[in-house]
Amino acid sequence: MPDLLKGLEARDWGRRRASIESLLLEPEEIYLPRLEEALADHANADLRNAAMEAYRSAGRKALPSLLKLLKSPDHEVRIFAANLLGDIGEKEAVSHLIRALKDPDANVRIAGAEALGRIGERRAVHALGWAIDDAWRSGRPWPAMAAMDALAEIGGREALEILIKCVKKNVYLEMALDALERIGGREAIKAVSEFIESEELRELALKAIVNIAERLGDRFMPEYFMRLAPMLLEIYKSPKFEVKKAALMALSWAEDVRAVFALIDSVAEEELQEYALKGLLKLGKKSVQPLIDSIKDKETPERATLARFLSIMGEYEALLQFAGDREPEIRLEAALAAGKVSSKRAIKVLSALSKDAEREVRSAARKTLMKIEKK
Amino acid sequence: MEIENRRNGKPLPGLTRNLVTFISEEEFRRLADLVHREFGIVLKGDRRLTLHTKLSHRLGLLGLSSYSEYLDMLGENSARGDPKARGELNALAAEIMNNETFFQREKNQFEAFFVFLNDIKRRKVAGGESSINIISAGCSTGEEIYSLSILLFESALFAWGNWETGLTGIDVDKSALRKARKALYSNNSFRLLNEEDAFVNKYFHREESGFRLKRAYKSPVKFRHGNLMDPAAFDGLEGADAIFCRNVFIYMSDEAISNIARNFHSCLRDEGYLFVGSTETLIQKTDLFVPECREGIVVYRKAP
Repeated sequence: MPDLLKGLEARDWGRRRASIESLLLEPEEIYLPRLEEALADHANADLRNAAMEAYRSAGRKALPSLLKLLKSPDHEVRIFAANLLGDIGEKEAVSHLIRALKDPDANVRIAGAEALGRIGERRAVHALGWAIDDAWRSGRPWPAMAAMDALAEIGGREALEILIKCVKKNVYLEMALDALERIGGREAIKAVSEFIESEELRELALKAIVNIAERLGDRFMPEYFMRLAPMLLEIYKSPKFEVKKAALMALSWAEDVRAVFALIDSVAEEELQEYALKGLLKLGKKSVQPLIDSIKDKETPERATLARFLSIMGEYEALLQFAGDREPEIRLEAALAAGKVSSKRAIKVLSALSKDAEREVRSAARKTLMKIEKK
Repeated sequence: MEIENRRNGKPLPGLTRNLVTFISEEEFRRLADLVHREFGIVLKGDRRLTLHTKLSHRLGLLGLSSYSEYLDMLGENSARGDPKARGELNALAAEIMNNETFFQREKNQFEAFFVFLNDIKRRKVAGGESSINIISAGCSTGEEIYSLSILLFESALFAWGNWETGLTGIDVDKSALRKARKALYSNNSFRLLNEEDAFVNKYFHREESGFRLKRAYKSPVKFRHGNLMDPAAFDGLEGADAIFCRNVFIYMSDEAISNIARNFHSCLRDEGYLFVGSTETLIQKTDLFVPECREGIVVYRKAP
């Protein structure tokens, strides 16, 4: 046994794993007491961490030991036990973890709430609601946050109602809005929407609304966000990416021409590109001239993508002016567009591009000219 | 609350008009299967308009009118080993993957590697070796491998004596490789730097059409066309001292990452370093590499 425990302290991950696997082949009554000691050995963090790995690997078999440790006089051991019970995920631990929500140590209460969230049993919801109230009364936000997070993970109608109540009573409002975003649902959107025009909370509220709506597959009527366009354009400048994204999504749904340059700028950001393109598509003709102006500006990123997008919108005539562009991808779009336009100008463009330095541009122009000649 | 409820089936009055579906679900599924099989890339279903914007010109070039025709052509002809179909597959992959890169991207990794170079040199001198080899896997338009070329030069560790410096960029996108070989860059490639920055002035000539890398930093670098999923892409590069493969795995499935890790493992020397993007991880994707925290970054080494 001493050899196996020594292996647990190995720095090498492979050796540690092998030691844990050997340990777990022994009967529980042999190794669990040793793991309990290791978990309480605060002087040896490596052994303690390895003991936690071993507990996780033991899974259900470790349950009685961990439930015992949840009552340890040592608060740190109680924290570890709660964390491990959450990791293992056995429902049998739920009633014990609910009791841990009343632990004298705040960090144990936090660990208990987090574990309940990970296990996901709905019978914990009422107790978590109590934990939020308790944290609010005693002025301790961290246990409240852990409880709200747990409610968001567990989900369901009761959890949602508790969080909505927190929002309405202004109980740790920002945390509650964040939890509502994660729990989702149309009721959550309704509750959060009340804060969309609040200076302090609009970013959180917007993020929650659009993210929930997107998960649901819902779309807002354009008028809802159109009236908020000036505010959304402000929020779009946020350095926080998730907030910027939420504003861009709302702008793409708004069908408001004031958003056009924000949408065009966002084409260059991969995570935002789809929303930007959809927003521009909805704007239709109103986006064409801004797109052309942006392509003309050599410093605009993703000019080729914008040119391709003009083609998707069917703006072939507009693309002909880019036949002399320095980027071959844009000249290619001009060549392909010229094939769709019946005009002398288009033929001129194709003739010029049939001698282009880039093979693909030359080839596209020549093929199109041949088709026209055949006709 | 003005929310459209699609689940009722019937549209409510005053709804926003539906977007035209450019790629059908069936076409998207076939395309996704194809690119994953060939390149390990995972296509996300909620980005169909982006995909169509990236690919529509391929249909135009081939004179095709639908993705079904495109996929039929690719499927039949690449199965027969047709080189044009293979070329089109590579062009497809290049369009789907974001070629965005720039100089000094994730600079902290370069700074850490600068420190590792001393260890590398010490080991080589002790072992009587006189070459250093670095690979940029998924090199795109070359900014990363050229950044490494500059780094090696600045270290002055391999400047004297008969040192051979091998810097190789590998990518599946031939058009990106053409740009890389030209080594002519726009402001976009210096987005973390001011164009007046000393870095730009020291290593580039200003030309009318952009900034051209000076010959001293360009000449040690070679580029090759290759698919990272294919071991043949690394032929002749065995014993590499470092591989940089950053912001490539974000597009790929775990299975593809594991496959590529195997190729890296075969190519990298035992003491070699593997750098991936700071938002990427190989943990739980392969047992062949283990992470090490050094100089404030995570770098991967071959597992013992």
